[in-house]
Amino acid sequence: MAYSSGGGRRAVIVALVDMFDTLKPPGLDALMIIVAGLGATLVIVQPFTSPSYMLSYALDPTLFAATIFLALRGAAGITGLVESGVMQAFLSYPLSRTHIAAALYASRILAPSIIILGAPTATIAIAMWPLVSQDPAEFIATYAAYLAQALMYGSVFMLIALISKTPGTSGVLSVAFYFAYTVLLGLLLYIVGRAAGVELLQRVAEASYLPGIALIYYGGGSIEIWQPLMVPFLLVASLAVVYLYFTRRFEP
Amino acid sequence: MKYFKLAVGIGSRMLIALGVSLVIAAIAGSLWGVKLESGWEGSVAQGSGDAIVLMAMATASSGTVEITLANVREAYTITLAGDPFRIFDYLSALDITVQNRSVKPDIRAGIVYGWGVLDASIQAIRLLPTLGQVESLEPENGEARLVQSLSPGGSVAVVAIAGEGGVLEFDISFRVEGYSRTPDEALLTLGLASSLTGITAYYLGVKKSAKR
Repeated sequence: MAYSSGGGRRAVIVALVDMFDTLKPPGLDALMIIVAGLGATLVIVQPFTSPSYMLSYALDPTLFAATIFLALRGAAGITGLVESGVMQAFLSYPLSRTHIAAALYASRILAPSIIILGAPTATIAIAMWPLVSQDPAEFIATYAAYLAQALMYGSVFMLIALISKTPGTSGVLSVAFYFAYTVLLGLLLYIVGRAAGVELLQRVAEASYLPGIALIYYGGGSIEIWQPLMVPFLLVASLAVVYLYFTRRFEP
Repeated sequence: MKYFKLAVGIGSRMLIALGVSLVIAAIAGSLWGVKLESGWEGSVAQGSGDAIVLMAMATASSGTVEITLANVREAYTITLAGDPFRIFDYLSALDITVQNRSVKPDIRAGIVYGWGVLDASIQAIRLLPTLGQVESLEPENGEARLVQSLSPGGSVAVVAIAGEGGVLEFDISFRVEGYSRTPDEALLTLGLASSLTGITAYYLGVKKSAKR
């Protein structure tokens, strides 16, 4: 309770200071221009007539770029804060660990995800405005699906970074997690489910990729009520583990 | 003030990136802009095969596909969702194999065309209506015509048996419906305006205040 007065404001300051490191030029600028420019080019040379289908063409490759950024620059950067002693300085501030965890999550995972996925989304929204304006909810929901998927990956990457405390290990383990998640949950489960004729396994495999569920839904396909909730549930669960680990066990 | 400068710095960089990407989009649109109509015509020799399959898949857009076949004895239409080449899985279930095939994508019109020569008994071909979403297409004077609406990812296939001489002539056309986008000139103007605003904000908000 002693930290509650002005804690939120100080947490915002910590987030902004740390964001300056995460988003420093020219890496992010080059990434934004490349994903937005190429994403818009992919969309503009094809006659898309569905907002969700159109956005997925640009955001599928962008999600991969965002995931690599989160693994190697966002989350792994937290280990750099530990090695350079900045984390110890943050922890010495009159701020609760909850506030510091929230600030680090905002600067390392949330802001980069919004910006990297948002760059092609904003460009496409302007370039394809007559189509997007017909159903803005579908367009925004598709973006939100990609954002939730990126945040889920980022939360696990942050946990890996906090536990491993070294940039190399954190980066490699994060990429390994991403690979294992997409192959095990996305592909193998689907193949096994199809081979064994178990529909539930196929449905779980589909649900592991929220943008895919959005595409099925907006394409007129049928989805189970729990399928759109699986990735948000994994996101909340991984966030809870990050919070518990950072506030109770983490020692820089 | 320091944090305002930080926010202006990030915001101005985003405006510059948005501007550059809008200019790239305008250039791409003017160089490789979409086609709202597309077509493919030619002939396929049935040869030693027993039937010919013609396919069209809308990869990006909604529209109407029209398939006209000449010199056809029997024809069946198969409506599929997703990859049209999954039709080969369906056909193999009826012991029908593909001898030869040709694919022609027209990305700017958002459509992929293809044909294949099938190896199967007449009995197997006539079993096609037992598959789901298969309908018999009645030819008139050796000519069969199909007009169908396609949604993104949707596809249609026609399996046909050629008449005299064993050569089937085909004409497939596709018309995109419901497409619209911001004009290239507007994209270019917005892109340049966004870039200039970003550069000005960066100069005034970050560089100039740093000198003070």
